[in-house]
Amino acid sequence: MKELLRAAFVIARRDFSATVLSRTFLLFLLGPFFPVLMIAVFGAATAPMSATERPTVGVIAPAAEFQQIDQARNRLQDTFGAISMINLQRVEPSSEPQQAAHVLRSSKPAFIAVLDGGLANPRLVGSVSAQSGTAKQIRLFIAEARRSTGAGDAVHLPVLLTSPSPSAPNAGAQALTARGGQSLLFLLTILLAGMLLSQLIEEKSNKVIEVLAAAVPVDAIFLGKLLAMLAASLTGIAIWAGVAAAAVAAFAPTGSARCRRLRWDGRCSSFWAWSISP
Amino acid sequence: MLRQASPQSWTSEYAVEARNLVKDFAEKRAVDGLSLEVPKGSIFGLLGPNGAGKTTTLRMLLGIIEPSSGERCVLGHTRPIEAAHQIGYLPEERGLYPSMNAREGIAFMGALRGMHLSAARRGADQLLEENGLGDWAKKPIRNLSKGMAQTVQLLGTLVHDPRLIILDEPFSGLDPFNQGKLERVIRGRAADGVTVIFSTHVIAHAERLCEQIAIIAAGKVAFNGRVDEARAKLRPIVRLRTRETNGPWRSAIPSDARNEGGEWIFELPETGPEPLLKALIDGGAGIETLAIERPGLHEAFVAIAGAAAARAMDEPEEIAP
Repeated sequence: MKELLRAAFVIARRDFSATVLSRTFLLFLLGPFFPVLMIAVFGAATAPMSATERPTVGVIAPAAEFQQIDQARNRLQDTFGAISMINLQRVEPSSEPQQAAHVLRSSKPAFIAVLDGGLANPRLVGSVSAQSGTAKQIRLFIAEARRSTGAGDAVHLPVLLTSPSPSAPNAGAQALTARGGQSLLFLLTILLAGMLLSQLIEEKSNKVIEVLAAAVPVDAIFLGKLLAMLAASLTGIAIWAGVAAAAVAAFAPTGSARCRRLRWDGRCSSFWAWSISP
Repeated sequence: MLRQASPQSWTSEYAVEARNLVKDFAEKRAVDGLSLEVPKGSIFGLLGPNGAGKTTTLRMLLGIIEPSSGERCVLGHTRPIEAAHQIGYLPEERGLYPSMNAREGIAFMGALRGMHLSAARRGADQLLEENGLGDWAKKPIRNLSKGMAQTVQLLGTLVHDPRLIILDEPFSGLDPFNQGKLERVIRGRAADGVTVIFSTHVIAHAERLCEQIAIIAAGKVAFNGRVDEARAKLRPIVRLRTRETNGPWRSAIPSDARNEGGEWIFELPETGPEPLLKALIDGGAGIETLAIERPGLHEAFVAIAGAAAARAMDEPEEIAP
């Protein structure tokens, strides 16, 4: 076993340095954009989120009023079928003065935000900005519900931004991070398999494989190549992450409340949103 | 030296022993019941035309491919890969990473065979200097000439000071100067007690270098033994030129003798040279020149492997620039 690992390390060291120090490594770094583009176009790996994956907003309202808002949401979903609408879940109103904040902290599964005040005086509480997709959709639901009840469609929706509590992390960010991880594994698998295959073809064509097979066990050759490709892939990912972090640092607005309150999962989500966008 | 496989244990006087090795590729039998013994410290040649099964035999001895049947023992190991650190192997089709420089290429091969990388690099520097390639140590292998690249690969085969060196067609593609250098390397290592096995289809190389040879034809060992034993399989050749064209002395010339430009060529009769000489003198032949030559390995090869195999051996090869 010791000899196997030693031989594998010798092969891994050579393959890693040959890969990372070659010009083709630049192509390797750019390579993921092509499958990402395909994924974005055909939606193979990033299919629309299922209903259970969509973020959910809690609605503190009587049943009748919730029904009006939910029906408005469903009508809009029918109209804009390709766009995933956020889910709504009713919460029974109580006499608690800070009910929205309490619900936001304690709900399971976690709400991305909580709407209270009904159709007459709506207010959104959560770790979302006034210009976020969630706030815009809620504003649209309320306008549609008010229009259908004849109460007019003008909506003022104040958004009270809160920090996500540790017990109720940002569900949207979680979903995005999970999808990012999924994409990462997908890309890593494709890249590793492709690189391993091309290496073996090259070695078979230039006859190096015979030198290797005569000197070390075949298991060590494959193990060494897998280790090298894994290390090269991780190096590539580290470079992508570094570039993305630099881009976020360079281009993200600074000094805003939102920026100050970004946490690690938010950063991850920003990176993945950036990296998987076409 | 040829023998059948037996259950008896392996003997320590041989660096390599093989018994009844067989290798089948689909419908074709590439090696058919090959047995051989290579004494430690000897230079051993595997002779045979292209396609005779030499490379397949070497690959089985190295453990690159497994035999369909039969067994082998290399430096005391029945699994040759276990002796890999003590073996140097130069394949027929040279295999180097073109993007590596000469020094790293040699060091990599040493590291594969168990050397520490730093020691392998020092060894590579020394070997490159000794072989006049010191200035090329940091140059990518793709920039070297074919002959230089072959030398680099040979040095990679030797860098870890192996006890057994296996060279598959090592002279193929080398110019006469580099062939001479390679011969000196082989002799030098053998003088240090290293066993050298090489395959070749050039009889002259085997004749100059080898103490022992195995002649392989159609996947079988046609002869395995010392070079002089192979040559002794043929009778000496007599070349005779006389002043007289006819006379009683003609009765001393064998009936199958041939005359080429006035020179008689025939095998020395079993009775030896003295009765022949006496008959020629007494018969008034007027001997101008008389030469009795021992047959070369080429003639022995023709007699052992057949004329077709010998013609295949004589096919010209490409020379590296």
